[in-house]
Amino acid sequence: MSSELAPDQTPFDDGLTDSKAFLTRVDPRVKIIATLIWSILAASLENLAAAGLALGGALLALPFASWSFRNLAKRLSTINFFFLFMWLTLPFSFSTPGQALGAIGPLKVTLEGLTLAALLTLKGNAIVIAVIAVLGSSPLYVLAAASRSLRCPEKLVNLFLLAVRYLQIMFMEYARLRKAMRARGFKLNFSRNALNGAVFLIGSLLVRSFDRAERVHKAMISRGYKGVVWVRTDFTLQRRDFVFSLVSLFLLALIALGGFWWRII
Amino acid sequence: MHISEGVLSLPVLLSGAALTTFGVALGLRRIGDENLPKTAVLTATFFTASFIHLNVGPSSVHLMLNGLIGLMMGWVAFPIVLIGLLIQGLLFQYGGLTTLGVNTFNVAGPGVLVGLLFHKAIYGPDTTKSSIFSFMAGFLAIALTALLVCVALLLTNPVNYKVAALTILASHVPVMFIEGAVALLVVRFLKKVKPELLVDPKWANK
Amino acid sequence: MADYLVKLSHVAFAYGNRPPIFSDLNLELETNLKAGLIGGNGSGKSTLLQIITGLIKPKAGEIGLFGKIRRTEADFREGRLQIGFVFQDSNDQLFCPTVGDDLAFGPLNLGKSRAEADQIALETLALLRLEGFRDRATYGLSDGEKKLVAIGSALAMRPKFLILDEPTNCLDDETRDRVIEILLACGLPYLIVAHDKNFLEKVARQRFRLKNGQIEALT
Repeated sequence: MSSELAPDQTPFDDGLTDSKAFLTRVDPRVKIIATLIWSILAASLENLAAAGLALGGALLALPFASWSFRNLAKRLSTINFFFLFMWLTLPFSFSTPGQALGAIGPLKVTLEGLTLAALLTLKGNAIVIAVIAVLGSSPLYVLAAASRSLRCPEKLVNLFLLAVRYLQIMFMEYARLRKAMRARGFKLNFSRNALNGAVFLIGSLLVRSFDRAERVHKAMISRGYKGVVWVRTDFTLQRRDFVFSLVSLFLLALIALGGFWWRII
Repeated sequence: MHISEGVLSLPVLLSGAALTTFGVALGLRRIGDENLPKTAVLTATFFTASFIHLNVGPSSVHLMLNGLIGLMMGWVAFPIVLIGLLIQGLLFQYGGLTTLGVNTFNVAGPGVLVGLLFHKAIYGPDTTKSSIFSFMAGFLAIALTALLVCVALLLTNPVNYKVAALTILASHVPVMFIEGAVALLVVRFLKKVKPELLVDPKWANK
Repeated sequence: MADYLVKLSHVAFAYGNRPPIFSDLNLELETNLKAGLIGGNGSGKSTLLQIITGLIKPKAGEIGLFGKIRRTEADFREGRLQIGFVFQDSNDQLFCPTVGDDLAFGPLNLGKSRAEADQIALETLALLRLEGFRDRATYGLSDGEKKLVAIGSALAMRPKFLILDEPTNCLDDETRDRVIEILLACGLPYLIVAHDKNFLEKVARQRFRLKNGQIEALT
């Protein structure tokens, strides 16, 4: 699982989005639509071959987002931790008549269980890798601006934009509080002391965030805030957007065909 | 506990998305222009607080705080959780786009429920009553979330996901007690330090 | 034309049930103001600035801005939009994702078109000597850059009056000198809360001190 963040670490590595990468320069509106269709299609796949094909397609996108393997591995660890759990339970728990491959102690290992675990893993990674490569190559606020021009509810976009902006500020507050606590020897084990430490952290963060919110609101109305957080949404389609769309459509069709074809047999 | 991409069937994913759309619409309608900054900063705060881990024996528990969010924000919990999970999904890949609906509903739904049920008792002047109900809010919110996760898994595959679902439920029992204790103590902390934060947020609970 | 910039008469204010910060505050600021405001911690400097702009409503008394008494929120809003308010913490002031969005926020709310607002943003960046910062993410800026952009976001409103709350806190000398330069060149009346005596000497022609809920002019 994700480990706790070090006090001086924030989750924002804007350096990860390489502005020269092909996928960063593709119109974010196109990227959102493509990723959405891709995710839904991949989630509905039911056979290994098509799921494998989807994973291959997603991996194909990676070089165009210039992701380093290390960063990718870090991001993939959470979801695959979940799949590890599925690999540990599914092969032994298949109760429909399954083809027994062998046994570990009293537990019977079935082929169907293994196949299902593999299918989930392939599908899940195909979706997540596509999100990382395609959406992960744009900063969050660019995606927000794009969803605004895709008619996403305005209030939700405003909320998202402000939340992203203040995430980093709240992380700084969190880090400051953690440092102060650490200086006084706090450890977050589940003891009475640690529980109180966590409560102090959460409580203080909440109090500070209310004060912060009040100041932000004042700053906003000082500049005539009327309910909109404006962002630039001047996107225009370029040739590379059509290239990206064409390649995506081709891959989508291929995978849909794969899924469909195997279902007939 | 969030369900990963690729695990659930399409009908379950779509039902979750529909329920979440409904909840988010209700929540958004309650956020006036003047409450937008407050909601946004709180979203950031709850997101940050979810990085706090408590070590229990060999494993580590991260706090969800959905009971607390529901208590303080009512229906607004839906947009808050949606945005939190969306950012988590985009920055850390805890989830992706297709599971966003189901996961938001699993976390925000129970939060809203305990908020609507208990906020009056908790905001009231009776300390004992407030403590009991805030513990229950934290406890029940996680219990219901774990239950909803099981339901989503079992609706997808009633036979083969059974062991996984039961394991998830069982592993969340200690978390229920921790979240209960945290909710109780945070409510007590806020009542002492800044009681005006725990007044009935009419705009959110309406 | 306005015969005064700001006029407070018999203003009283307290936070909740705490002891009052002001019980009978009177103040008139003239239109060619270049003033510094000093006072100890908790003397109510920030509160005063917020009362002037109507961000905090006093318990009693009258507030005038630009030669006109303000009573309703609409009155204050109209006045507030002509004031460039630079808040103490730049992180409160810069709430947009990028520098360009922040500079365009005020102009857009004032009804300017997207093109006009973008033009103002670029001009403001040139004034701040931060050309090329338009698409920079706000959270990646240094404290000094944030302060300059915050001042820019106030100037982009094309205000008639600037209010700055401790603008030189935690700034390095170079940025501080930039702030001085910008203030002296802007040609606007301003009121600056500051502790930094050296800084005030360079920018303030008048000085006021807030003490025990009263304002006194220093000579």
